[in-house]
Amino acid sequence: MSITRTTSIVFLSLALTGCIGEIGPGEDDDGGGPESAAAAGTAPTDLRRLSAYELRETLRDLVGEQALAAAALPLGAVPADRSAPSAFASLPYSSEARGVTSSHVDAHYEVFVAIAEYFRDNPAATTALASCLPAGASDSACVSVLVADFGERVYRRPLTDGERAAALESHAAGLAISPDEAIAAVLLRLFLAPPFLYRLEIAGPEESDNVYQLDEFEIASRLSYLAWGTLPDEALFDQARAGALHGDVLEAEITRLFADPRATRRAQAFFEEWLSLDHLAPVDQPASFLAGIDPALLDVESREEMASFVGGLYDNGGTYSDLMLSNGASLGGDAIASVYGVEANATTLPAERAGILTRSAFLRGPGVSTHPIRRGAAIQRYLLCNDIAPPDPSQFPPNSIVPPPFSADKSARERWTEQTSAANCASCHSYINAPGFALEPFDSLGRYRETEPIIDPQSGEVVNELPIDSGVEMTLFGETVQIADARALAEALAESDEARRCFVTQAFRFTEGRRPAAEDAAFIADATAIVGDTGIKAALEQIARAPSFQLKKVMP
Amino acid sequence: MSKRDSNAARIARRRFLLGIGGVTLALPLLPSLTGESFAGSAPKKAKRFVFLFTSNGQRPENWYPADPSNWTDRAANVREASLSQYRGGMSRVFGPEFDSLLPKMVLFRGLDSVNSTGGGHNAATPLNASRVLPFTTIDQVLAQSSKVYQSAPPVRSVHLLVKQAFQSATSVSVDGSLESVEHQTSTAAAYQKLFGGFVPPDDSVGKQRIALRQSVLDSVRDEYDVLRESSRLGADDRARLENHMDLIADLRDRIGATGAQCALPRDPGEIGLESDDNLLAATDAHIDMLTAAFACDRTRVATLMLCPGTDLRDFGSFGGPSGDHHAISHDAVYNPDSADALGYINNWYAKRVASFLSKLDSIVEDPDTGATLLDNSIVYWGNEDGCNGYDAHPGWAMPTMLAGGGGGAIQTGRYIDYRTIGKAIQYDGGGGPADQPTDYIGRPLNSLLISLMQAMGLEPQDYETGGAGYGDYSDIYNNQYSVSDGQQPLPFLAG
Repeated sequence: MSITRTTSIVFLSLALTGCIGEIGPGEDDDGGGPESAAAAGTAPTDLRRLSAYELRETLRDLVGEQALAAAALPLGAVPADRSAPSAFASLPYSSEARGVTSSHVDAHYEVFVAIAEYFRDNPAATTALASCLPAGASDSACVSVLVADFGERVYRRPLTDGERAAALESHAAGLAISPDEAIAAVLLRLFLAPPFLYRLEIAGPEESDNVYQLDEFEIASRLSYLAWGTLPDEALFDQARAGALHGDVLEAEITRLFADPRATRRAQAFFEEWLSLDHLAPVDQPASFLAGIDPALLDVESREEMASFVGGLYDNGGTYSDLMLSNGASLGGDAIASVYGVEANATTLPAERAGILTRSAFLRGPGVSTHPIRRGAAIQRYLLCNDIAPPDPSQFPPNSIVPPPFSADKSARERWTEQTSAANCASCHSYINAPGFALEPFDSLGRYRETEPIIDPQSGEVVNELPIDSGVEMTLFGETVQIADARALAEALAESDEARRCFVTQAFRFTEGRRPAAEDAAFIADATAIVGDTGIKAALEQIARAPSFQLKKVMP
Repeated sequence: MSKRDSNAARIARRRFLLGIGGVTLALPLLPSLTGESFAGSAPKKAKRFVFLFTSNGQRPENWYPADPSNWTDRAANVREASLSQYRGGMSRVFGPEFDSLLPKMVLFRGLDSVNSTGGGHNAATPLNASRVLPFTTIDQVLAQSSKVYQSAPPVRSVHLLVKQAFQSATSVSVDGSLESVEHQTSTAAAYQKLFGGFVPPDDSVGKQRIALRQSVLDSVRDEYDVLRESSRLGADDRARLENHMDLIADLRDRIGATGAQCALPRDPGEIGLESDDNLLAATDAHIDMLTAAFACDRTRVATLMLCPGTDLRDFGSFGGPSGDHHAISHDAVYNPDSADALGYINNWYAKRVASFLSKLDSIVEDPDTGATLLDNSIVYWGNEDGCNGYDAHPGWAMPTMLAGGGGGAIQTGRYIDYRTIGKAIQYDGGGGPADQPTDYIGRPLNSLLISLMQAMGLEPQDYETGGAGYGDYSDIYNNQYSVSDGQQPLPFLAG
């Protein structure tokens, strides 16, 4: 056993000196008034819109790959939902983005115009939208079918009479140019409608003060966006139309959706955002350091390998412990295999590797030297749910928040320790540095190494070779522990109920687009147990099984 | 594994990752890897590429702005600064006429044409990164690419040259069979080639379409107006929907602004160049024809040589310094007056460049976003020779400027320095003494060409010919440069 727990001296509360805050349930806001148990366990939520990812997936399912390809350029201009205010700040989840800017509105319009023009210029393709097209493009009966049926998929619910009339008016106006232009105008009108972009939940009956039941279509959309990030499929729509989305039918749909490959992709998207794999810097090391590894391939293969790993865990009942400890792998290429020092067809990684922490996608970064601060901050933020505040530049001398200077006779750990030793640095770096140093046996590509080659960044030459010290003392959920190396850290996390709770909290943030509130405490507790016992997929499914899943509490 | 095999494997890998070629993946891809690329997608706004040429190199003190105090390090040996700080005249060459264009430009330092054992004056160097070998230039790769032309265009590429009658014609362009592409010097012939028999389209349908879309946006706005009254919305939700509604109304008004109109340029007729007096008129005519050709989508690829290679023009007749451009460029190494004269000459050419850029930027192509013809184009101003430190025309420190950005493919408004500060280029050829000052070593110019082709939508399999990268990688100054760097696009050019 490589961990020794000592008496808990340093409590997390002592650390809350403006440096870190915990990502977890907030204070209960007592609203007053009689409520059912389900209503009392429902946190108020605001209006979500489709993220850029959800928008693309939803459009793909609605209009198909060809029409979407015609909109590739403006789709690329839809603003990213995840962007950090500064280089040191952590990224929000894409689902946490709210509202729109002019850039969103312009890009959405361009996307919808491109799709509408695709169908205008390829009338034969409109058959997929309504079987009476393209022959009936100027026939009001046919267009009514298009508006009712395709419109129902766009709005994710049946259209009201007023909404149908608005779409038909656009058709009538377009006929002045041509029937194909008129169909394009209908499509543009439907996509621009607020129920397409926004996840409106406004149709169900009132349950109690400010708490409403979702109607069948709203439940169907919640489920499909939760599991897949896109609109319901026909089978799910059918259940909604039949008013059957309760009890056993709902349970069967939950199981069906989460078993679908689209749910695996959605889970992979969570891992990608959780660990910020979508913001990895490109491999930029010089050829002498890469030693034959193709940088462009490693860029892709390292992320794919991580995706395969977590996707495989999701599909096969993997638990949080597996996430931390499994060294199973599906490599898919020579570049990543070289990093791990195995053959490309290997299915397990060497014993020094354990779970996600020791995979290249988690470890790697730019430059020939490791960046233990980035690694340590990632562990604190992503795995321990400690929000590390970015350094406030006004509190430090100019140009002091920079990597330490090169030194031929100091290890990266020694250089970073010196650079962060000032008192006003240490208040945060006493948390950040230790977990980063534990990963020092892995270089900036993620290769395992017994010693640290000291590389002159200018010449690229190895000028020294120093021993690696990966042993650290660190605070883990209020306890001071001795950690020997990355594997020991992974083992400590695998055994920790708090670490599981953090993982569930992160998944909740990704799927629900907000931080858990006091009302979500019961769900967090249930899912924490489930992710340890039954697995990651079951923990995600649990969101749909919570009583609050069928309720909406309006934020006043 | 040979270079070709490794390249083929990489392409196969790319195809695999893009999910084309019939390979089924064992596990789903990461969403962010699949989101960006679509096989066979066509850009809604066509991208244009134009190369502007001048010759005889530049003096560093004329070409570069004062070293900025606010460099931002992007990576080791890559730093950048904002060009906007140089309003009011960036350098002797780039005067205040570039002020409004600075946010749409990129100025480079540290791009070296790395195989410079030959002498200077290979006009195709900026487009094929070769000083000595015939090698297809990127304008020709672009002109033949289905990524630039999804269907056959009226004119694949146009090549124009302004030169005095006595000067020999030269060419910046080399085609796929390694033949130099002849540049058109006749303004009448250029007009005929670009606009002969062409009737600009009647845009009444376009106007009707804008009115139709405005009516759709009005209707959408009304729907937001009803929705925002819903009692099921919180205060923040309501504010967001009201903001969205306002932005829809704003968009509705903006698409009503008139967009780019394709109109025939004035037919210049034949502008004779026996007299120097007509050089400016001919240059302006070529610029107007190119602008209209782009606006009317008659072609998407052009080269415009503002002067021939080894330009011998004497600017005394324009009120400038006497003496021919080429002789002045050599004398400038030893003689400050000649260095200043060279600054005058290149500022004269730069004013033509600014005029062209301003015309491209005055044409709004996309009323929705305000994107101009310049925004959708990549204009590359290059030179056959480098920023010379001494009396030869070696190929390091190639004077290189971009404008436009190719529809957002290149992030503009930046001065980017790719040199390794402190590491001097070791030069031992081309007739120059080895102890002369050079410059700090930069990156192979090949990388710029790769970046430009990728910004125009090409992928490696579209331009690689038997090896990774593009252009000539032979004889790279005794291996001072990294070939693998030169096989990649320039880092951070996209942002």
